Amino acid sequence: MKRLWLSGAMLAVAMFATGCETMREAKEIPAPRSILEGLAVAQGEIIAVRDLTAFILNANGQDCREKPQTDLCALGFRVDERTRTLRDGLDDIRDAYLIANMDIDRCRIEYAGVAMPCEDRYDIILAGVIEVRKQIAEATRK
Amino acid sequence: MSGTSKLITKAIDTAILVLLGDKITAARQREIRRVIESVHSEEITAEEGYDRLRFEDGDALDKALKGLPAD
Repeated sequence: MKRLWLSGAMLAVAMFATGCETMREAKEIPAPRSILEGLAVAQGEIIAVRDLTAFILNANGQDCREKPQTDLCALGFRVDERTRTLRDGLDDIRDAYLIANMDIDRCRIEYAGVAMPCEDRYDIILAGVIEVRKQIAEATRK
Repeated sequence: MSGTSKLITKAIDTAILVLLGDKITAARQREIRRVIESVHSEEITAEEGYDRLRFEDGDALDKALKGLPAD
């Protein structure tokens, strides 16, 4: 019993000494200077959520292939699905951002089988919107 | 083992899980920081940084859900 209390106390001290490491590290991430950098940080946070979910599943010895599924596995599958949706959504935003920041000479508006060069900034944004719509339509068909 | 002992053991197990989970997440935050710092110092482009932080299929969660051994 005494040993148990002692380990509990040692753990409490360890937690206090460690502080909340995640928060400390997160505070030190430099502020993103562009949308693309912000998207990169968001992708990193998605990985962190997935890592933590995997750790919890493994630590609890969950075999998620078994039926019926445990609540923890169901949660794991939900996290997997949501993070995938988020990742794909961020990819779409990234693509639109890259197109919208494209060099005007490389920009083409491709719509209804016709390709025309972009003439100004509005054309570049239009090309970006068309591209994203095309990608969303392709992703929906899959 | 008495009820109190079981409770303390459970609390310790949970606390260890929290501590380790915190360490895992902190490691990812460090990676994000390193990548963003590399972008700021122009060692890599923001696009490359984005790709480095993007998860690919077959990561730890995929393995945990499919019952495959973790790396």
